[in-house]
Amino acid sequence: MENKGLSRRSFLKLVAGSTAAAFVASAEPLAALAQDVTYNEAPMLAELVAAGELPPVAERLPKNPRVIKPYKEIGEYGGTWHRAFKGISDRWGPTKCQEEMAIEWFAPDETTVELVPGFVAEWTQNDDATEFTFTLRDGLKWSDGAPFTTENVAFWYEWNYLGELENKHSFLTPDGVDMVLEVIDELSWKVSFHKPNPLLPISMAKSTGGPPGGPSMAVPSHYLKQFIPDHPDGNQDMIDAAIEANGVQVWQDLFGTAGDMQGPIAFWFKNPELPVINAWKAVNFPTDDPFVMERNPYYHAVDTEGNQLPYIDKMEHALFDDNTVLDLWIAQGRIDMQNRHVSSANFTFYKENEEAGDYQVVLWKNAATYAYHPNINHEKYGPLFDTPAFREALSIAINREEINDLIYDGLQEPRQASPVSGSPNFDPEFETRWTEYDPDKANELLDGIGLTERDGEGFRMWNGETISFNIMHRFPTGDPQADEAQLVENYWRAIGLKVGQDLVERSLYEERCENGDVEVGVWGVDRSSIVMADPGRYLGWVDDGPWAPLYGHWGDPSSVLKKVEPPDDHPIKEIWRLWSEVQAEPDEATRNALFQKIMDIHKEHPWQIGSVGEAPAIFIVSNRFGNMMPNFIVDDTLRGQGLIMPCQCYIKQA
Amino acid sequence: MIQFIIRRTMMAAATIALISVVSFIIIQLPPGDFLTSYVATLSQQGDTIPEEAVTALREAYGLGEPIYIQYYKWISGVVQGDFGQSLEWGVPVNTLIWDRLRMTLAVSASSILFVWTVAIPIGVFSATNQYSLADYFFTFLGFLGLAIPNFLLALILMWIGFSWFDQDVGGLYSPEYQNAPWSMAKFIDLLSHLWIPMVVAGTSGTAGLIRTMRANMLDEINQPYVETARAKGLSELRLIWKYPVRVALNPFISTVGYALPELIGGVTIVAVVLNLPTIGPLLLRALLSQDMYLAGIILMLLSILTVLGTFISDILLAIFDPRIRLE
Amino acid sequence: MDNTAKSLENGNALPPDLAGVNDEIPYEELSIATPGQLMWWKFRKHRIAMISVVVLAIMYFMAFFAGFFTPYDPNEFDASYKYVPPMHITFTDENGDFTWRPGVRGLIEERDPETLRRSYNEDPDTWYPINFFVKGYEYKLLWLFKTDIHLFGLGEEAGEQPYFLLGSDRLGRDMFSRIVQGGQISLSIGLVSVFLSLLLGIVLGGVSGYYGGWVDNLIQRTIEFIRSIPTLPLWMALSAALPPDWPQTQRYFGITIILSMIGWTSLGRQVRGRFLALRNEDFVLSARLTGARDMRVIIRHMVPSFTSHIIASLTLSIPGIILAETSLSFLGLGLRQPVISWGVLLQEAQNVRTVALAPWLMIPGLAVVMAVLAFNFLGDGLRDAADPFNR
Repeated sequence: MENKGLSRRSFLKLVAGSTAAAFVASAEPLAALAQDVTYNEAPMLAELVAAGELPPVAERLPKNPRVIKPYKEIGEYGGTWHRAFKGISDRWGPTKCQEEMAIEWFAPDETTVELVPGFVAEWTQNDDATEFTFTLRDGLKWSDGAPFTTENVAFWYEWNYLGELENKHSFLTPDGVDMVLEVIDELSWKVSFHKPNPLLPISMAKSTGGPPGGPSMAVPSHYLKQFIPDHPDGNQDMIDAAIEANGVQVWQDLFGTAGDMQGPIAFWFKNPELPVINAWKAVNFPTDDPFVMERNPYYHAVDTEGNQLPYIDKMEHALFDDNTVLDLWIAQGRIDMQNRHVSSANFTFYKENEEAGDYQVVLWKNAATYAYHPNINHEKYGPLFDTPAFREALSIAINREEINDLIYDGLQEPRQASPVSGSPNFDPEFETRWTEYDPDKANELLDGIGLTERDGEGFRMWNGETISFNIMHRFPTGDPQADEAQLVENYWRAIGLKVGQDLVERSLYEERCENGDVEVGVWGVDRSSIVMADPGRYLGWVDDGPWAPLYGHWGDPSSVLKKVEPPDDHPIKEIWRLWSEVQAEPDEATRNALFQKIMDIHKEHPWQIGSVGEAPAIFIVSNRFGNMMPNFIVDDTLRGQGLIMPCQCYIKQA
Repeated sequence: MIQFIIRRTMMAAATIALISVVSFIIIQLPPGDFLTSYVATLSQQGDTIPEEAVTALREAYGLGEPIYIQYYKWISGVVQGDFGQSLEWGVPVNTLIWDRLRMTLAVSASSILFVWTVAIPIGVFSATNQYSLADYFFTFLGFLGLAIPNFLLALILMWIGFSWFDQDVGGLYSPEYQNAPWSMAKFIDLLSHLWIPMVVAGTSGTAGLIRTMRANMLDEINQPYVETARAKGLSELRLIWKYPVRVALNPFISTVGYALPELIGGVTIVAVVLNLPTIGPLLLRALLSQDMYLAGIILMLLSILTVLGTFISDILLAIFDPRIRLE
Repeated sequence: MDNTAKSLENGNALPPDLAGVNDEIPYEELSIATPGQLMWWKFRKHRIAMISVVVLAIMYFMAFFAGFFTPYDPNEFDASYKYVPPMHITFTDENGDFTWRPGVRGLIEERDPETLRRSYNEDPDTWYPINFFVKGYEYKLLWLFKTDIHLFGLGEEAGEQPYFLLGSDRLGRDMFSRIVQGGQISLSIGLVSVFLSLLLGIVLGGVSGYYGGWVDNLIQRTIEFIRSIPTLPLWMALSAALPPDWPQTQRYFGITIILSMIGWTSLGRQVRGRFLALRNEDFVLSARLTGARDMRVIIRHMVPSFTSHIIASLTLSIPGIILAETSLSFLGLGLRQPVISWGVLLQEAQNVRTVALAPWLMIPGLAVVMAVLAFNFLGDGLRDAADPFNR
């Protein structure tokens, strides 16, 4: 651990109670502006203002702009942020640089995370968490200068949520019952649910519930209404032209296939014309190389001295296919800041080229643990895998230290699949449960449950047959995870189990998990920071971590796949019962206690057998790139690098 | 001559029709259908797609209908220039391929030029200096080019470009010229990036063509007309380049038609390593993600390109060598 | 015609190309030699081809007895010896004295705390002799006999100390053992696939050339069609279409079949050409007239008359197959771990960290180059020799 250069125990101490209404943040606790501040703007915008092509900055900003305190210092305007992407399918790379949600995670330092209002000025909720009221920043504008009002919200509710676009995210539609949205005035609206929905804020901080990139519960209706045939302002000629140009079938496809809101008209990434409220907006198409984004002159945030954000003028995403090219670009200093597609397997290479490429390797931590998932629903081996002693034997037969040292250069942490350190649910006992390498004890455990008989090759037998199963994974040759699976195979063979490997294509992996045919599946147990925001892995609802896929389909109300009801005394039923209580429990402390019980059931006899986790996430950060922080946590729940708000990063001007 | 062109045109058209069938078969080959893997990919990225939508897509592509109806649906779209939707990229195939196809053509064409400028003189030289040290050297070099796997050579040359010359690697332009309008500077920049793919894709073809050229030359060089010319006191250089080389080039041109498929294949793999904006990397990704519609279309376009190349080379050959027309 | 006329004028009944052979072999022997003898004499002259035969023989021999030639289990990890560069052989023992026995020094691992780069220094105070016919890991010789004798190694007395002739990879596996083991797949796939091509080529090419007419036309068009599709993309598409749940052995054969399905065309063409030429030769005509059946004429009379050509063409098509397997595996569409082939090994090496930090992992590429070169030279020599009366 000495080589890691950072103390992992202190890297994230989430503010417990972050989901509470206590964060009704009308006066922002983070940073405030002096009363009579004069706003500043980027030189490139000042030119436009001088030329009369843009209104002055004070008119572009809301009356109560969001104030963001830069992590280190007030930045300088200008410059281009160069990064790389894999083309149009790599939509989350550019998107996570600049998401705008109504409620967002905010990490004042690497050990704290809390919920704050994003593009709204404040939100409130009633005591039983059935009603939530949001109030917009007064004078908020879209990137084309049009005002952002509750009209945009009402339109979203009518056409996207209730209408034919079927864009109903489950957290906005508990039990499949529609929420009711009511516009109060030009700036405020209220949503009500038929039952308590206390997890709404953390869900909204994870997902917009609408188009990727945001905003939440609103769309630029003044632009999009033209593309809806039934809308009074719908323009059939434009719709036909757009359908033709984009090669789609029906008008709904312009908004996205079946409500994913990633269609060629409604998704900012694919449509440079779409008005947005993000820090940057698309200039060209992601099929272009490079894909260019430019600052939004109407962006609603300022730094603590009243400088309108973002600092950086442009973002350029260069297209690459093969990672070799990205690695060479990094070494040549052509990348300013990037985490996506940067492989920790190349740590040494990146480190050795720091000087040549004029950058630094900055480490964050992944909130995930690689894990082996014995499928307790497997037709043949299910009963065996559902025996805690058997799983314990599998777990302690794994030499995690060796895996870490041999494959990951000691950069990871040997641990059980559990909430990562710093998570509100972190539990050192859970983390070390069944992780002590002890093949002798593993053998004893297997003997203890009666698996003493051996076949001709010395493998253990069960019910008169050799125990023979495969580790199924999708990692191609040369991937560290493929090497890891190889090692685990060896460990398990060493305790007398005839284990093989099944390398399959990803789609086939998913298919077998869905059908419950998988024997042992390998996947990262991610989303382990704020587990409550997305506990699917611990509920057995995420198919790629198939520890109980068929039970999971039964328990997950939204699943339509093959399902099996677990017996009433199976602990998974208790887990689900607790989860439905958590979802409806408005009281913070009770809710947290209930959720901890779910974790405790897992801790008792883990189903997801973790190997190593909390892997370092490598950020390549140019020495000219300011206000980038180390040691934060990378998790989908916390929106990756979006956690430190790239709009406050800047390029040092020479 | 006209009859010959008509006959060749008809053959090319028939070949293209057959290619479309084969491409369609390849689209259908993977077990299950591409929708399943598409849904799997989506759900991995956190997006979900309702069952009804999947059904709708299934209908749009005619999945579940008899195979010939699926083919009909597909080919009638293709003929009208509607290549369908790439599932992985979520955009029409049309928007993805044309730029890349142009680049593929450019890289292939420059590779052919490279191969010719290298192979013809060396072939002639080797023939006129048969069994000399230089002949052996060039032969060996040609074989070496044939033997080194293209991707390895590309990787090594890229590394050399990077670590010795600090050259911009990957792609065809430096960042500053990426979106710049065409200019002399941009052209030079392009050339400085083009040499690696040109050399790599060319090496394997060069060896074969040197051999062909050398053999053809050897055939011609011993012909009596050469002796006659020599007896008449023509300078050796003129003598060689004016007559035998021209005759030897005839069969050479016909081999170009067959070199083309290899070359385009070579460019494919080189482009993957070198990150060229050609069709190769797109094809590989389509195949790996089982985006078979895209893959099938690309394969078809590449084949058509080849057929057209062969067609042109046949016509050229017929112009140069009237005997061919009668064959 | 002109050549012959000229030769006759010079009082020499032999075509000029045999002039070289003529230097060593007496004229009397030459004029009564069988075609086989003529070929051998001619081939023997092609020195590079002769060397190639030796090289290939060694490579195949090693691949065939891979267990014996690999000092270590090619899949065995060793956490304490990751990324060891190829080790030097030294002839001075631990006391600094000269010895005739080759040996290696022990390694001291060092790790840069910043970059985590591992480097290995030789410990001058140690010396482990390389032994021959030593005990090592257990394997089955020729897939049959269990044994643990290996050609070379440090033996048991060296303890943990390994000898990596060509270095070790990211998991501390012996590269030399992996290359030898990988040769088993890469070298055999060429042979098997070419054998399939041969069957297809002879049958279809033969039928085409022998019968002519519409059969010929159909087969010719088919060949032209297949050849008009870019080879590598077609291979890629077909391999991608192999069922992903096939076990590796099945995959191996699947890929072999795909490679040969496309590879038979050039062979088919040549066979057809030969048949066309031979069809009207006197000896075929006389065989026919004596009432021999078609198949008998083809197999008994026609095929033997151009076996040499077939062998030459076959040899020349093997390298293409080897390269194709390598390329497909490199692209991730071919074979995969835990199967070891040269393509798989190169796929593992296709990243900058290998080129920058562990270039010896690219040695499998050298093996590919060697095999392909040798096959090409061999084929070239065979082709020249097969045609003693032509160019």
